[in-house]
Amino acid sequence: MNDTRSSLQRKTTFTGLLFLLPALTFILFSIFIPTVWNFLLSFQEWDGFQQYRWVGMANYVQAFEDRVTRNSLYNSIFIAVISTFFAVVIGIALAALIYRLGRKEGAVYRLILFMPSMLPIAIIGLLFTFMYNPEMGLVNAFLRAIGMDSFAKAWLENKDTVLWSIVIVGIWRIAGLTMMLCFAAIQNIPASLFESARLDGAGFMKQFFQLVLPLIKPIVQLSAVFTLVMQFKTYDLVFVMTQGGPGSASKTIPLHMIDTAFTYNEFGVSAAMGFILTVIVAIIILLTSRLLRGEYYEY
Amino acid sequence: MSTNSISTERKTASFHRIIVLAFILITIYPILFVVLTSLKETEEFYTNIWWLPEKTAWGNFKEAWVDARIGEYFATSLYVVSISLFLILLFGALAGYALARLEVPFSKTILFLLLSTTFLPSETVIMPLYIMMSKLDLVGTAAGLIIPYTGWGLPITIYIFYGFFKSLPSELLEAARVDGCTEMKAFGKIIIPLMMPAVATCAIFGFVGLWGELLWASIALSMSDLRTLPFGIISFQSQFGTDWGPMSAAICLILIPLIVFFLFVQKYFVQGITGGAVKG
Repeated sequence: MNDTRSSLQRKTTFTGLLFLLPALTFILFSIFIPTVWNFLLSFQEWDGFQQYRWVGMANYVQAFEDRVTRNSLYNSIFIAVISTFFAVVIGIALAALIYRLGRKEGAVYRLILFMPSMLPIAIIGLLFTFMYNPEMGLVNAFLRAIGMDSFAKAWLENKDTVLWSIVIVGIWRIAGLTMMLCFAAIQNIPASLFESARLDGAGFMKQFFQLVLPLIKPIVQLSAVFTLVMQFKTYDLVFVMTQGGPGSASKTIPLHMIDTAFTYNEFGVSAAMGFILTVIVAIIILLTSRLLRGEYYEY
Repeated sequence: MSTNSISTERKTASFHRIIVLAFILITIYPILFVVLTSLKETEEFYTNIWWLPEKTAWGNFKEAWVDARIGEYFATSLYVVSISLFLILLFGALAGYALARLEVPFSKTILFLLLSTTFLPSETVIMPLYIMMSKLDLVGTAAGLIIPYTGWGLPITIYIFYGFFKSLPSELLEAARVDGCTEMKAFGKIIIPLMMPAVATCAIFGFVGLWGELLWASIALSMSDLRTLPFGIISFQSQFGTDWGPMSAAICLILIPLIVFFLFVQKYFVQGITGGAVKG
C-alpha cells in the first residue's frame, strides 16, 4: 500500500514538472535570462558588436555623473510617486462616494471610471496630445471659454508644465483601479457597522475617516503598490506625448535607457540605469507598503 | 429619523453625485472626443471641434484603414495577439494546475519568483532580449513578438490559475485518480468545464496587456515592414501629425475591440482584479 502510494506520488510529481515545463521555458527565455544578463551587462563595456570587457562599477559612475541620467531618474520618480499619490486619493474618494449611490447607477459609473485603466498607454498618450494641443486642444479651449486666456499655454512644449501634464494623464488613467479595488473592499464591510455609526450620529466624513478608511487600509496599500508599479512604466506614455522633450525636460529612465543603448550603443551604461531603476522601484514599493501597512479585519 | 435629517442626507447624496459625475465627464470626454472627431470632415473639424458632427463622414475610417494601412496592422496585431494569448492560456493553465495540485517540489518558491517578476520594470529586459532575438534571427518577425509576449503574459496567468485550482475541492480529483483516470483525462473531463471564468479573466488580462504593447514592438520591428497596430498608429502620427480625422479613426479602430471585449466580460474582469485581493 505504502509502495503504491509513493509511486503514484512520484508519477504525479513527474506529470506536474511536465506541465510546468513549457511555461517555465518561455518565462526563462523572456524574463529571467534577460534580467540576469542585464545585471551582468551593467558591469561590462559593450558597444553591441565587439568583445565584452569587464569594467566594474564604471558604468554606474558614468550613469550618475551624467546630468541627463540624474534628471531622468528624478522625472521617473516624480511622475510615478506624484501620480500614484493623487490617483489613490481620488480613487478612494470616488469609491466612498459611489458606495452611497444606487446600485445600478453606481455600477455604470464604476464601469466608466475603470475604462481608462485598460486602454493601451500609447493610445492614452495620443488622446492627450489632442487635449493639450496649444491651438486646438481642449484644455486651452476650455481656459479661453471661461475667460482665463492668459493661462492657456503650450503644455507639453513648456519646461515648467510638461511634467505635471504627464502626471495628470497618469492620474486620469489609473484612478479607476484604486476605485474598483476600494469599492469592493467597502462593500465587504458589514452594513450593521454603518448602521450603528449612523445611529451614533456620525456623518459621511466621520464615517469615512473613522470607520471605512481604517478597515480598507490593506486594500489601499495594495492599490498603491499596483499603481506605483504601473506608473513607473512610463516609456509608452512619455514617448508618444513628448519623446522626452522639450530638450530632456520630461525624459524618464526607460526612454533614456533605450536612447543610450540603441542610439549611442552604450549598452553597459543603459543596463546600469535599468538596474538602478529596479532598485529604486523596489525601495519605493517597500516604503509605500510600510507606510500604509494596516491590519486585516475579520468581519 | 426626522424628515429634516433625511433631506440633508438627500442633499449630500446629490452633492456626492455631482462630484462623481464631474469625474465621469473628465474620464469619458477624451474618449468621446476621438470618436466624434473620427466622424468629422476636416473642414467641419475646424469650425466645430467640441461637439457632434453635423454630417457623419466615414471617409476618415476608409483613409485610415486603406491609405494608412491600419487594416494591415490590425491583421498583424490580431494574428500575433491571438497566438500569444492561446499559448499563454494553454501553458498558464497547465502550470497553474501543476503548482496547485501536482505536488511539484518548491511550488511556493516558484510562485513567489513568478509574482516578483511582475514588479520588475519591463524596460530592463528589452535590451538583452533584443540581443538574444537577433542571435536567433527572430528580430522583425512575428515569432520575435509572440515568444516574449507569451513569456510576459504567463506569470500573472499562472498566478490566477493557481488561485482557481487551489479553490477547487481536492476530493473531485482524488476521486477521479482513484477511479484510474490519468492526469490528462482528469484535466480534460473535470477541470476544463469548471475553469471558464478563470480563463475569461486571464484572457482579458492578456489581451489588454498585449493589444497595446508598444515598446518591444517598436524596437523589434524597427528594421522591418511588419507593424503591430499601436506601432503602426505611432508611425502614422509622425506621418499625418496634424490630420486629426484619420488619426482619430485609427485610434477608434484600436479601441473598438478592447471596449467590445471588455463589455462582454467585464464581470469576470472585475472579479479577477478584486478576487485575489478582497475576500468575499
